[in-house]
Amino acid sequence: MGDLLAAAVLLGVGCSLVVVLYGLSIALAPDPRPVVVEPFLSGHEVTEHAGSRYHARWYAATIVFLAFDMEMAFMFPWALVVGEMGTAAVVEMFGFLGVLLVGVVYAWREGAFRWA
Amino acid sequence: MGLIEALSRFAFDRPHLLLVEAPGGTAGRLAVEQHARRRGWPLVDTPADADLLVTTGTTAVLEEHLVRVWEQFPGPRGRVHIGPGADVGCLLQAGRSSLLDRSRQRTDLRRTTRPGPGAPTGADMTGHDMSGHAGHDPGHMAMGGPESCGNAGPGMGGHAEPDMTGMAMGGTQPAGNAEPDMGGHAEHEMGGKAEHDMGGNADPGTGGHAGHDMDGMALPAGLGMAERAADRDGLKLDVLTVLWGPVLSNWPAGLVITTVLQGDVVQEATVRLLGDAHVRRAGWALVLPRLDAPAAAAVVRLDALSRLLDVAGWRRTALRAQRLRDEVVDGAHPVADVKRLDRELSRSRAMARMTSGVRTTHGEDVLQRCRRWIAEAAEALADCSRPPVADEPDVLHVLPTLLTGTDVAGMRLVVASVDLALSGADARAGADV
Repeated sequence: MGDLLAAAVLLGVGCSLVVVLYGLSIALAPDPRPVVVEPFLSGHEVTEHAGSRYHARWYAATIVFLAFDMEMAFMFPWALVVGEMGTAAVVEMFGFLGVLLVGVVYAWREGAFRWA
Repeated sequence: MGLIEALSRFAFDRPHLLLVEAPGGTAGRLAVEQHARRRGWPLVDTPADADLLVTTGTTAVLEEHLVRVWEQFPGPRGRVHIGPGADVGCLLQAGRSSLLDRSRQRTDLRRTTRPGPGAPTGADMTGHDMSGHAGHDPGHMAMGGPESCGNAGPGMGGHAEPDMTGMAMGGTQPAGNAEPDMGGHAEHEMGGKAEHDMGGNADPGTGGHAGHDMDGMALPAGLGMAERAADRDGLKLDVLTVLWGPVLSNWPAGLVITTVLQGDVVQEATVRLLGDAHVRRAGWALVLPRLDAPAAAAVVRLDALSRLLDVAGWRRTALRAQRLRDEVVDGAHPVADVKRLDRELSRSRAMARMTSGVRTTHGEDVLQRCRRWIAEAAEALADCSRPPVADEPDVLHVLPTLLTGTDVAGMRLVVASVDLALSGADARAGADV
């Protein structure tokens, strides 16, 4: 029964939060209509969508994904047993990470991390 | 009720200003920047973030742009125009109190129609009305305005207008057909955009054809996607036409650059300058005449430097340069501070890595231009006998070739580095800027 009460209180808090926010908006907003405008183009009219299609460069993105995915896959079980296994395990894992890092550095130099 | 009033006062304690400098509005811009810096009112880049639209100079050349920008302001909003000899502090405070006037804001926004993306905006004077004009009366001009703010000129000073949905500044406009029903605009969106593209598209063929490609499909927001073309590496990339200015922060007044971008690299650039050269020079003439030539040279260089530093993102130092500029305008000679600024500039590795190698006019790069400006300013203030050499005036012809091949950040740095030549501050006769 205590759990049900806790859940009900949580539901009440959530609902009241939503109601308060909507209420504040209705009370304070000078205009209830949402503002629908063109994107800002320094005062000019927008003639085309700015969502440019670009080349994803899958090879470079794949190298980065693989490096971190393999790192993650091996580090999860390693983290559980590294305490018992001692220093050698740590050294080996960091050696493995070093190898993966070579791939990441290659992708970095290829500009895989450049977004703009 | 009291809670809402208190919340409003808290929210508009420091209204965000969108400062638009039209040609000839230099004195107003300097005054507004000083006011904003002292009171901590942020100067923002876009209308979405802004509360007050502050204009200076002869806004008639920017009329259609200001109408569009005003439409993009969400409520509560206000307009302030700073005319020559106006009391800037008073006008900005009047603008701020218009933001707090809730009933006036409600009336203004209720009358506003926003055509939205893809539909012909109110700025195309093709008989589409600005329905706000039906309710606009000249009495509003006097609100909080000339009498209480004590401007010099007879009614020519600025005025604060909280509720204009169109530009009455440029003269009278016909009240137009009253079209309070906004549903009509939504229907225009799909069909109207295609023909609008054909008719109104001045830029060569980039967005115009997109309307035909997907005839059966609804275009997102009524806008076509960008066309594709081969770029310099042989890839097929989207071609995007982006126009820069005149409503842009830290941008030379009246400058409009039409860039054709692929990725973020500028493939073509076309440069246009709105407004006359003499208007531009007159703008600086309101600030500089009390100063001797070396101090005037220092002022324009510190001003251009502060804008360049702001474009580069170094806001703190840009504000310091602005403060020094204002001190020189007031008659001081802060030579030691300018030299300290020079040292800080030379020590910054981030600035060096960002701006060296970005080629600009005179065979310099942007970093060298910065250093030269501040060195000349320091020299002019220290040794008052020799004013420095002025920048060349015909930069408009060189600019397109300079900009082609740069990326967007480089483009903004280059434009900021020729700010001095474009500002009209140089008194060379026959300059075409």
